[in-house]
This record gives sequence, structure tokens and C-alpha cells, in this order.
Amino acid sequence: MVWVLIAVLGIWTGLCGRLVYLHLCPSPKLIAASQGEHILKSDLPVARGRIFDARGNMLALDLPMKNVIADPKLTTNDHQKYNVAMKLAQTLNLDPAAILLRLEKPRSRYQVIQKYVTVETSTNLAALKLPGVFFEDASARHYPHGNAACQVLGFANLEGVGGAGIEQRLNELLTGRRGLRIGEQDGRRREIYARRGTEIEPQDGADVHLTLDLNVQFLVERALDEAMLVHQAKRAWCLVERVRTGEIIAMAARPNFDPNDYRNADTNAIKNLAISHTYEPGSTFKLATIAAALDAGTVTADQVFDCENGKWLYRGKILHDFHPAGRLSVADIIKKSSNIGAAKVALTLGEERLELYLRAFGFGNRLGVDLPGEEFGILRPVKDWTPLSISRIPMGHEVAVTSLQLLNALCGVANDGRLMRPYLVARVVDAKGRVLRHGAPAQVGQPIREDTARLMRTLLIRATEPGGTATKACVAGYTVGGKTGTSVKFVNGQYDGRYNVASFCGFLPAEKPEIGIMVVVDEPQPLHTGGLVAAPIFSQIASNAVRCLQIPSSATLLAGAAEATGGPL
Amino acid sequence: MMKIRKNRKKFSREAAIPAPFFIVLGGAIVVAFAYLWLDLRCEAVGHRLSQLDVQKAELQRQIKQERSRWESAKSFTQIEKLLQRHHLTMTWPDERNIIRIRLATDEPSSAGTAAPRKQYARAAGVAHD
Repeated sequence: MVWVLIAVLGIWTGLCGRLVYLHLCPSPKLIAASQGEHILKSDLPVARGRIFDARGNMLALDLPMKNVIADPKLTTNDHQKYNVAMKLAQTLNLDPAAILLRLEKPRSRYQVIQKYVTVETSTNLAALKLPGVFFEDASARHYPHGNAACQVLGFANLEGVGGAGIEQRLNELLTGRRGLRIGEQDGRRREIYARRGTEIEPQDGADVHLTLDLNVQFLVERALDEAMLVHQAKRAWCLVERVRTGEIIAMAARPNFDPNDYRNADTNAIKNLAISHTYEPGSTFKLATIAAALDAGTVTADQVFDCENGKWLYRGKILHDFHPAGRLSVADIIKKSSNIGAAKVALTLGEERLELYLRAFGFGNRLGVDLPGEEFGILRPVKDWTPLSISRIPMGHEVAVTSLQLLNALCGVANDGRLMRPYLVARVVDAKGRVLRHGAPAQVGQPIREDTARLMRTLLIRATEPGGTATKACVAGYTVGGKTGTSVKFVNGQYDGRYNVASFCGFLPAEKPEIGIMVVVDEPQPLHTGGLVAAPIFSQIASNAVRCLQIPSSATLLAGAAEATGGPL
Repeated sequence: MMKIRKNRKKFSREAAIPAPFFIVLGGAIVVAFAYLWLDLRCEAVGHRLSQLDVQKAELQRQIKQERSRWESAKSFTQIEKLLQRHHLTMTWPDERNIIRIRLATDEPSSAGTAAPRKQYARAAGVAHD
């Protein structure tokens, strides 16, 4: 009996000694093993910032989703597996055979059936109480307005990294900072709340407010859809800019894509043609040439040039006019869009001065809009010009521009010669409400004087009047100014008349310009001129956009001006 | 020689545990129970907080879901679909049929920002944003 007691006491003493030893002098290995079991480190999820338009419509947000997972070990017999596979296939619209194949992996305890399923679908699935099927929280970028402004917004991939558009350009601001929680967990891996230690709050990404107006964007998108159908065009794009501030109100291109399904999108559809595609602008470029000559004082608006009845031999090459004419004033050169007239006007200016003016208008350089992939365009320095260049560049050949460059130049003319920097981001606000970035109107230059700009405005209005090339650009109740353009495309090393780019850029109301619109249609059929293809699209967009943006009609403006001056104008 | 008898009763009284020990033991028991009660209380509060955390996350998820649904519902594509389904055609009112009432301070042009401006008097003097 005594020996038993001694033995028990001995064992207890030994155990107590070991316990004391483990507590007082534990080995680092044991400490690490113990901490590994009990310490709980978890990343706190963070939402990517949202994107809004100017009216507060949400264009992009992170949406909670679920991943559907199966544990094949829990589906015991074949009948059960078949049943589960059929129900999953029915609800998720998948192939039952593929699901069955995944369920027949008894060693695996984790088989992904489908990722990023909506919460509604997961709720429906959960209600079926399928054995071995469970759900994981996930989140995915969602674009509630679908295709609208897709090239501007771009997309963010499943890892939450922006892949195009605003999502790519402002990726750093849109991406939030993940949080961290360090605490302890019990034997069943449940968090012991009272032992929660370090906690770094997650910081959601900043919200981006764009200058886009979804209403106008919709008008543009609808007009482009119709244009693609009516003109059987290869591509079409359009942008709308506020003349006085440089805010981009709408920007769209066809073909387009659904950012919710960006993985199946064609790379050509993701490209933002308004800024990433350069083309020979054709006659729309004449507005810069004529404005330059008028500003330099080498010509006057009523100065007459011989337009050679549509055929002019210059340095061994014949230059043609689409509408042959005899003698035309500078004002009529714009109205009739005479190539020969524009070339002769440019000759009065000289090569160096022409290049200087064109660069001042922003051609050959990026404008710095808040989007990735903006092109420079091509405007060669004078030393690289051919002897013919002075006669071809004024009518928009031998140069390549982006539509944004051209529209911005036009808006510069409409804005009394002040060239504004086009911008898309109105402000970026972080999760705490602090404004991180504020987009404000910024003047980047003044290529022409105010009086020249006003004169140019009146000349551009004439293009939309009877006898002009852009009569179809008219908008009821509003005076419109603008310029048509039709350029022949360079295909397989030569200009091919079957392929054209029809364009029109205009502004309204001409008395006090508010918006500028640029429409480009690539390879329209059978009509192919800017006046017949692009100008009507401009009219369609502008007549509705003035309502959306509450732009007063020309009559209202004239009445207001008459009231202010005390008599009729 | 007379044998001295040991007083067993007196001996047992001397062997009793002293009173201060009871006081310390009682105190320890009280402290232990207090600790236990506080621990359980902390656990309960922690559990409740965890539940509230989950609830908060769920509500945030629902808000996002609803906002997304609302945005999709008011998207133009959706509205057009509905209009087509109900055979409705909407056109803009003619310019001459619109009465604009502007405040004297209202500048019709855009001055600097893209913020939405008020739309006056589309219907019986009611201002819509």
C-alpha cells in the first residue's frame, strides 16, 4: 500500500515537475507549435471603390458573390451523387456529367463547382439542402448598366486589378487596403473574441466620380447602334465634350463589350477608339488650317481664291475637290469644304507657321485625358515634310489624329480660342469622405486670338446652312457650327476609294457654345460622306442632348441677349 | 505509577484549521467565481459582438445587392425593354412646350463642374433633380 502511494506521488511529482518546466523554460520550438495552433491571423476583405457618373448613377461596384463548393466525401452513394449533380446542373445551368465527374473523387474534400454565383442562386441552392455542397464568400466587380460606357470604365479582373479604362488608370486609388486581425482561436478553430489582439481596419477603395452623364451617354450609345445598323459600318465612335470646361460628357464606340463578361470580349471591342485610334481626319482638319491663316492675318474671310474648278496641278500632282468650284472666298472654302482652297490658304501661311499652329491646337501630342492608351497622333516636323505636304496636310492628309484631339481643337475655337484640357475624373473621394483628387477645368493654351475664334465660329455655322456640306447636322431651335470630313482609307499601300471614314465635329448653340460633339463612322456603306453619314448622327444626338443638359435654345439666348442690351439684336 | 490519560477531545480541538485560512480560502473562491463570471460574461459579449459583426457584414452585402439591383432596374436598357413590353413610346416634349422658370441667379451654362443641376418646371412647377 505504501509503495503504491509512493508510486502515485512520484508520478504526480514528475508530471508537476514537467508542467513547471514547460511553463518556466519552454523551448522555442514548442512555443512556435503552440502559437501556430492558437494564433488566428485573418485578412479582412476590402471593397474596391465605386465609380459614379456626374448624376450619381453607380457605374461600377463590388458585388458579394458565392463560390459553390462540393465535398465528394459527403456524397456517399451513386444515387445521391447523381441527384446532387442533376440539381446543381439545373440551378447553375451546367453540364451534369461534368459535375458528376467532380463528385466522383472520393479522396478530394474540396471541388469547385462554380465560382462567382449570385447570392440569389446560392440561396436557392442552399434551400435544396444538397449533401456535401457548401458556399464560400467571394466578391466580384459588377457593372449594373452593362455595356454603357464600357470603353471608358474598362474592367477589373477577378483578382480586383483594373485591366482597362478608368479601372486601370485609377487602379491604385480604387484598390483599398486590406485589413488584418490577429487573435486566438479555440480547439475547434473558433475565434476567442476576448483574446482578440491586433486589428487593422480595412480601408475601402476610393470612389471615383466621373464627368460622364449617363443620360447623354445612353443617347450616344443608341445613336451609334443605329448607325452601325443603317450604314453597315465597320466601326463607329462618338464623344461629347463641354466646350468651356473640357469635361467629357459621353464617350462611346462600336463594337463594344460587356464588362461583366470581359473574358469573352474581343480585344478590338475593348479599345477606346476615341483616344486610341488615329486616322487621317480629312476635311474636318481644315478648320485648324483656316483658323491658323486667319489668326496669322495671311488671309481674310472674304478673300477670294481660285479653286480651279476642282482640279489643280501642284508640283506635278493633281489635287481634286469633291465639289468642284471656281472662285471661292475663305468663308466659302469652309462651307463647300474645298481641298484646293484649303491648300492655297495654307500656302499663304507657310510650312513653319502651319506646323506651329497645328501643334498649338494639340495635334501630334497627347492631351492627357484620364485614360490609358491615349495616342499621340502623327504630325511630322517640317523638316520631314515632302514638297507636297503643304498642299495635303491642310485638308487632313499626311497627318493622323485622335477624335479627341480634333474635338478638343474645335472646342478651343468655340471657346474663344482657349484650349482646355479634356478630363473625365471630376473627383476621387476616399472611404472617409476626403477628396483625394479634384478634376478642375484647366486651360492648356490659346492657339488663336479671341476675335479669330469668333470669326471662325461664324464661318463654321455657314457649313450647316443651305449650300453647306453639313445641312443634315441642323438641330431644331439651335444654331449649329461644325465641319464635315470624309477621308479615303489607306489600304494595302494605296488609297482605296471604297473604304472611307466619315466624320463630323460640331458645337452648339453657336451663339454661346456649350457642347462639342464628334461623330466618326468607319467604312460606312453605301453612303460614305461625313455630311450624309456622320452629320445626321450628330443631329440626332445633339437634339436630345440639349434637353438632357438643359441647354437653352438659340432663340432663348438671343432673347436674353436682346434683353441685356435693351433692344433686338 | 499512575498512567496519565491523554485528553483526546482537547487534542482534536487544537488540530482544527485556523480561521484566517478559511478567510483566504473564501476570498480565493470568491475571486475564482468572479473570474469565472467575468470570463463567461466576456465570452457572451464577445459572442454577441461576433454575431453583430456577421450581421453588419450581411447588411452591407444586402445594401450592395439592393443598390446594384436598383441601378440595373433603372438602366436605360431595362427601361427600354419595359417600355417595349408595354407598347409605350416616349418622346421629348417640343421645345416650345417647355416652360423654363429660372432663378435670376441661375446661369444656364456649365460653370466649372459637372454636378447635376436642378431642372425646373417640367411639371407644374415641381423641381426635379
